[in-house]
Amino acid sequence: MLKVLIIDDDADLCETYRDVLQADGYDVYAVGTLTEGLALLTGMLPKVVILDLNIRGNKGEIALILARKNTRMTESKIIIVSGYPERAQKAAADWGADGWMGKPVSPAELRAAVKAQVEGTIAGE
Amino acid sequence: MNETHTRLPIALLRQLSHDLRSPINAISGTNALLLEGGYGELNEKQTRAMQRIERNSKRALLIIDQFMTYARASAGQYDLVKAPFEPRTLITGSADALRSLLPADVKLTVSIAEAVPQTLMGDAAVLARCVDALLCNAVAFTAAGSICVAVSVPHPLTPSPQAEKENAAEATENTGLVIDVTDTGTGIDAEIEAALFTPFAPGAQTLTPVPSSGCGLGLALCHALAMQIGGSVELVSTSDSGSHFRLRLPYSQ
Repeated sequence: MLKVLIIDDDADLCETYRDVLQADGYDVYAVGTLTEGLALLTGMLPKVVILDLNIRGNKGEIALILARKNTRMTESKIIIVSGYPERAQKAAADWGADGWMGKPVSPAELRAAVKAQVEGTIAGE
Repeated sequence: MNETHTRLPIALLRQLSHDLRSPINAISGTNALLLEGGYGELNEKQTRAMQRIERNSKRALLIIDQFMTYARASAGQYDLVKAPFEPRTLITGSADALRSLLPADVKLTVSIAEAVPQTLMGDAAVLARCVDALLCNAVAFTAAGSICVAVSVPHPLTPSPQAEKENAAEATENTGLVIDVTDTGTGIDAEIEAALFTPFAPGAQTLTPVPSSGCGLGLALCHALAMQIGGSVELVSTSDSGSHFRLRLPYSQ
């Protein structure tokens, strides 16, 4: 099963995203802190990472996650999500993420975004 | 302080608050009916999902409430209520409500000086909102260690015999509460410090709140409410080993 890692400090949102993606057959992990996310990233080599841009406690870890993805984990796709859509778009462009989404993200949007990254059909939203 | 950031148009917000309440009502009401089995029995997974909806409907209402309260308070139009309340019960209640959100390695303690009276007169909601804001802030930035709440009074409540003779009517007025909240968190960056009590300023946006606490208006709301009743809130100190906030609110006995 393909692995998806969700890094978002909103536990309810993580559970919603997990329910959606598990129903599509993905092996889904969700963590609430960047520290946990960084630790899992290189360990599990997820196919797709859903990363909350506004997660608490970011002191450069988000950029680090993206730098790591670009150097050591080139098979992992990272999608940035944010309640500030324009910032998600800019951060994705600036830091080399594979896509971005503005919250609220519907189940259909989430499924489509992850599927596109897995299939390598679209490098974007 | 930038006027456009601190004075939100109250009429606009009131309309927005009103217009959002109906759809939220439809969501939360239908959801409550679902949880009660009004549309048939639910399985465990469905029940958990409905409970998520319930929690987040309440969060949405809390956010609307925070915006409205901030708008009124920052314009000096928050309607104050003067009634007796129990500060000890209120503050320990606020702390207990947040315990479930604490990381496993964080201990929350509350110490209340003996001199703090059992009952005070004033607006209890102001105290509750301010303490909640300071605690939510501490929880958001403390991954390990402790959060300590210390409650004291600035002046002795028992007047001196001389004061009693000179002005018995004013002897016990406006004694107030002093609430110190200290944490062992990551501290506050210098560029955010200047905007700490200002909503929507560039630095304040990185202070993402505890999700269940509403939006990022907590400290700004605390400041606006404290100012409206003649109190104050300040960041006493901060470093990469923690922060210390002090809230002073005038109350009478």
